[in-house]
Amino acid sequence: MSPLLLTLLVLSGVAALGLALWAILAPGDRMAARVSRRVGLALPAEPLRGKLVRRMRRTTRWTSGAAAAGAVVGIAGVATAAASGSIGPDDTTPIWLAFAGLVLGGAVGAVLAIVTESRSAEPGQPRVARATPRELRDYLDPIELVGARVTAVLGVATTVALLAWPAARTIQVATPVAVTLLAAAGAVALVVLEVAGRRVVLGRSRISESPAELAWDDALRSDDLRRLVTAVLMTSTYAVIFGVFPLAGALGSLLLPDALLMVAVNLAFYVLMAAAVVILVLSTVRKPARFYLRRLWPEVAAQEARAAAER
Amino acid sequence: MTLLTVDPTAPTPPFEQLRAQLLSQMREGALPAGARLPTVRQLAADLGVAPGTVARAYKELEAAGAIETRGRNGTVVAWSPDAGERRVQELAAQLAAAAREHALSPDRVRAIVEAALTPIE
Repeated sequence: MSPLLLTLLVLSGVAALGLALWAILAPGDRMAARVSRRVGLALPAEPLRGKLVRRMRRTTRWTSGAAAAGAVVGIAGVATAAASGSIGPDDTTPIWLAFAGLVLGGAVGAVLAIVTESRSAEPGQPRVARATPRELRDYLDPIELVGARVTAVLGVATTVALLAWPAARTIQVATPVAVTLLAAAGAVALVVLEVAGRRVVLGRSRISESPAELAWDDALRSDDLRRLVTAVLMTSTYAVIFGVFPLAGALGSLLLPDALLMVAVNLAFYVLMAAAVVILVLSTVRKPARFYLRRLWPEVAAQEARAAAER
Repeated sequence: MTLLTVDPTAPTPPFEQLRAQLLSQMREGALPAGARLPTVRQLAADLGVAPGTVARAYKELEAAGAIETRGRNGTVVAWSPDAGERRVQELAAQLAAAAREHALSPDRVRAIVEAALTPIE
């Protein structure tokens, strides 16, 4: 086994171990305070506070544990491939395989945390529910939802083009196997988002005893769905980036003279970087983690905006 | 904010609490005509009540012409400010048909309707 492969495997193992430890320790109050700042809702008093902290800790345990398990599965796959000689000494495929396992594992863990949760209502307590059905578009900023769908489709399309066009495989940013794995992981994550996101994250009922509890339930549902979106975006974006460069290079060498080819490749790189910066700025300005608040609890969002302006 | 509350300890039955709140939100415009309502199963699970409770509230609202069930599109709000008048017109047409069937004179029907309206006035 090459030193590079060994280093990558050790790093992936450390990441998996760290996540497993995080899953066991799962801090309570500090984590809740962080979520509270992110989702724009003040932490309530007990007993609701304790209930929320337990739910967050449970989700963290499942997502971190499943992410660690995903990374371990990825590492096991790499070790098997390395032992059979399918991975070359300088091949970086392993790290992407472990990365895809980690991201996909985290998304599946978020769904499992909900599926395995027991629900019960306190007898004699009032219950509050929304008079309108829960929809994906109420919990996810369209820029994230559409972005995830488009990126996953682009990831698959890029991979298919890369595999179908041998000339494109002469310039390699990552191996076609790595690109295929990332695109496949993105497509699987999209299916998890579209199916499990609707059926499990939105469909699963949780009884709320007050509007504050209902608002927090919305916040945590949105957080769970955003975790699934992140899995799609993280895996598919890498598939697109790694796939687009060889394709652009092969296309450029067909259409452009050598002198212009490097200019075009550099230009494509800068365009991609600029797009990444624009997305980063947009996501900072739009605060997608608080989209649900503006959509479902506009009064609370307005109150929060006023308080932020005063600070 | 279109929230529904069910208090299991209240003297009013849960289905009636739901029916009244939904109707009041329709009248106030919080649930406009065409707005979708959650499925019976979803709302029952969210409120921790039996599906039959929600089904009964929906059934009564449907009978009053306030909501409509549109197959795969689910249950939607059909209430509008003139919904009550339209409903009375429909019932009046049925009354007229029944009166003809039983050969009741228009004067007799008017008398019956007036008698029925007396407690309302």
